[in-house]
Amino acid sequence: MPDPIHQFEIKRILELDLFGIDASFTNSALWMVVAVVLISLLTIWGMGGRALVPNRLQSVAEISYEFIANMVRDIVGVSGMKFFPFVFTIFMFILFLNMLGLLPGAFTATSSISVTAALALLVFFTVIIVGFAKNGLGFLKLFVPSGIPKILLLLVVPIEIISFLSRPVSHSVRLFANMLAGHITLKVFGGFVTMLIGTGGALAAVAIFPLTMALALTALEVLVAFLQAYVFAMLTCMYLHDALHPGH
Amino acid sequence: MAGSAKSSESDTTSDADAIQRRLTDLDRRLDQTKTRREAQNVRPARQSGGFVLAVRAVSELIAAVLVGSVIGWGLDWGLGTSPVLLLVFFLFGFAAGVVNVVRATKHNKTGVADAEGGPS
Repeated sequence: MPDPIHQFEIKRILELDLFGIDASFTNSALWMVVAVVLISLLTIWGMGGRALVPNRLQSVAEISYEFIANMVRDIVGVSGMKFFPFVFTIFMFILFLNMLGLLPGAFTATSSISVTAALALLVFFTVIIVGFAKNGLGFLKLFVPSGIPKILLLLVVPIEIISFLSRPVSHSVRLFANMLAGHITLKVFGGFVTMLIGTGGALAAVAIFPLTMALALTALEVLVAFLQAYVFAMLTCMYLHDALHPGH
Repeated sequence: MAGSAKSSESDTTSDADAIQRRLTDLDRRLDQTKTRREAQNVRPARQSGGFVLAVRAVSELIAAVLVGSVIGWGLDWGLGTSPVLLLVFFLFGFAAGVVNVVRATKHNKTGVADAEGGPS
């Protein structure tokens, strides 16, 4: 049976050592570069025509723009549109990494916690910096809900602080775990197919069942790839909303 | 000659009027289309909402319990009060997780309501 974890192995393509830090160009980095190049092609080349009646590529670029713009407007508010480039970049980056990971032989960069944690921490610190820059110490009102008896604050403030600190954890683990679990399941069912066919005879005919399952799972994974990118972007918007308007 | 100049001037003003009228008409129709579109847009979000919410709620709860426990464990380690603070902060973490889940579900409902009342 093929090892289902093998696909997540990070391989160094170009060895690079920067002042004692291992900054090698890995297969993970390669697929991130591929994602960035594809997104740039989609947005720059797709919008290059600027046709009034868009062709297919331009439609995709416009739909993704509208999708995220509406999300930012709905959740953060119109004043939050200055964060549109940030949210759009994060959404497209994760979406492309997730989708590219579904290609046979590709590496899913979002299936390593280091990548998702870096993205989640980026959002986390952006929220803290923007929150303090916009509201000063008023940002701390986030931890002190209004209209609560003083004595209860002793209980509520630690809870609110833990709730705030848990954001980057859930934010990163959700994306990472979904991609990891999905790819492992796919690999396991794919492994069943090759095993059953390998044994030959009557068992080879049974291989149709895990194959059907793998097919259905692939469809599910496409949905999950999109939904996880969507959830990540949506939560980024909600956290940015908190940064701009602390105090529930 | 003066008359012809005047007539052409009145032509341009009536042209401007017509354009203005067409513009406001277009604005009105655009608004109508937009409100209709937005009403349509709400639906797919609600359909996928259940799955998204389920995935969210679980991770929010686990993350808060985890963070609470780690904070408690760290304080215990620093203050040498093991395992009192670990237990206390585990409970705080659980409470924070429940708060997170409640907030996630509540936010979703108001979000949909906002989108419905949004076009105003």
